[in-house]
Amino acid sequence: MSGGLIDNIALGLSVALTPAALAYCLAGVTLGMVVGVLPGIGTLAAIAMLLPLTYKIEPGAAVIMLAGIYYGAAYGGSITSILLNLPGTANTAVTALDGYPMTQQGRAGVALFLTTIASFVGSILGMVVLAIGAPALAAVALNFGSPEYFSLLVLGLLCAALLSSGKPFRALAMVVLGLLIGTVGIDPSSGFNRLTFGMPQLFDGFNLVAIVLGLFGLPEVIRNAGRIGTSRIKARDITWTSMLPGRDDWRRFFGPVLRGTGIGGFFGALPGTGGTVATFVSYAVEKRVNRQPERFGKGAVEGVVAPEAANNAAIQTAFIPTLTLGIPGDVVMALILATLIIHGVQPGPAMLGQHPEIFWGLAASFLIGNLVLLMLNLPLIGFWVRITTIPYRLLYPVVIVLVCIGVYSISNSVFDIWLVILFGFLGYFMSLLRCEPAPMLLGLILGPLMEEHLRRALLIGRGDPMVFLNRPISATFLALAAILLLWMILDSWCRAQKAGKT
Amino acid sequence: MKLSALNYTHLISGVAGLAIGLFVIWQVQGYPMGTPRRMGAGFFPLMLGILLVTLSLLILAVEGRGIARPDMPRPAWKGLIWVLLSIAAFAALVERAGLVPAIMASVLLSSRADESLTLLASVVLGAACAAIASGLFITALGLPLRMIVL
Repeated sequence: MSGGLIDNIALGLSVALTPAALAYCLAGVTLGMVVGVLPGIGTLAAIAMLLPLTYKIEPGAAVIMLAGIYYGAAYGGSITSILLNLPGTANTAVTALDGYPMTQQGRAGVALFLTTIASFVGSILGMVVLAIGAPALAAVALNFGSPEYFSLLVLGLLCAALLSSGKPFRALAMVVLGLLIGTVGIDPSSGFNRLTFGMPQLFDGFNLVAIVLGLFGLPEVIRNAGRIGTSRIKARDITWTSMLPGRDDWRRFFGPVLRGTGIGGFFGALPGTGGTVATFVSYAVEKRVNRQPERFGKGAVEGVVAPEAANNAAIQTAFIPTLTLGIPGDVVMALILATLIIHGVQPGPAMLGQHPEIFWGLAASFLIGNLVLLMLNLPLIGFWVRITTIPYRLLYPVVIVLVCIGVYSISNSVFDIWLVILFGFLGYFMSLLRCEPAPMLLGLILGPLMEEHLRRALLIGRGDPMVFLNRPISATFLALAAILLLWMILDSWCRAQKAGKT
Repeated sequence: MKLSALNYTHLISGVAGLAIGLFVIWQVQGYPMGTPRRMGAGFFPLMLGILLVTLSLLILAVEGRGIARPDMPRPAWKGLIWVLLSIAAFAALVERAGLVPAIMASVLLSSRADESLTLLASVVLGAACAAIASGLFITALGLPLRMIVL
């Protein structure tokens, strides 16, 4: 690791302040705001559509732009949660619980103002955690061998499956299915053709962007087509004066925001969990510590600002496991990871030493991006509100066309468009069957890495699986995984028994 | 098993998982397994197949407990069919007929999922989309696509 924190921040700023990086950052956060505000168009679809474009630019700039879409959408999503009770992204679903009642009480302006400030504070504090935590974790992880990595991947995938779903076995089956799909193609170690059924298009494995767009982009369009009407919010309802919070609001602001940031920072940094879990936990905590829990759900300021701070802090700290361990916390992080790998940059403990300009440039771009969002958000609120009135019936056909062109352009292959159809169909029915596709995608992306570490670990252990238990760090990861698994199984068992009695 | 059983999500997920797992185990039979010390190409997929079968059996055994009535929501057939058809049209046309016809067909088909859009409006939307996409992707970004193949 070279240089102190100050040097690193200076390096980051020197990268993030170049005109090209600034332009990509600005483009990313603005596009993120737009897709966040538009109900029915998710962050994932936007990122996946831009992936082909990012192959052509530098990896650092590509990641800055993709990350910008991610946190920009978090700002934008809270606007529709509050004004329309329609969360633009899953991360902002909790915000609607108290944000929409505030709108009904005519306090939409205050809610928007406070969430913006809360998001900003959460992001900046999360960024500080990232700048301090990532180098520290990377230093520890540099000593990891293959057994440790394999156990860590097991733990991360278990977290992703079990914490995101109330149906543990179904979620675990989805992870395994993802790992299986990840083995499709030519085995890198032996050159053997696996599960390709003689199709040359599959020799390199499935096209990741086609799978993501199919699994996450299409079901969203299928669900919403013909069902989302036009919003009736008027921009003139929100004026500058209506945004100013009262002294009572400020009193309820700081405690929840700091607690939310702490909770978000923690959950974001865990491998396998992301912002969505953090928002739910943070809301539950606020409700519990508050002296008047009955106010929640009826427009409590605490219930809006704490989850927002948590979400934005989690987005920042989620980059810690993604960049230092190569284990993404959620699907968006997985896509960013995949982008880096495509560019030949392997995220992991060595990345900070090998490509400090990418890591610190990204961290510095968060500061710039969040400042831009602060300036985009409040002064232009009328514009964002007007965007929500674009009818969905005009939007979704355009989204479909963009999906088709984006997927085709990756390798000029019509086969990949057919894959989108296949995975769109599968993804839609998976969501009907309450089988979350997100754990499957994580499995798919991490599968090859997991197999490689398993192979190497068994080689080190001369074929004896005890190699995973004889090493203390690896054994600790596996023990944690076992505890988590047991706890979730017992929990779902008890709930099923209870439901069976009534 | 009555047809209404198809509305129980754990039954469908479990049976589908079981089928995929068994299929994988059957497929990898001919693959080199190697030894644990030197894993062959079939080792990891076989382990995953066995794991998937086990988990699917657990889904069937456990996750249906306490469910009294069908728990699968009604599929949005209209959205599903029109959206998938529209992408299929794009895939079929983009290389044979060109980008402009592919976009027109795609927009015309997908916009049928929402009845409130008139045919004229979808034609206008499709034309606008085709014009902007041609300008942006072919002229500006230089993607190797042709506007119209004659």
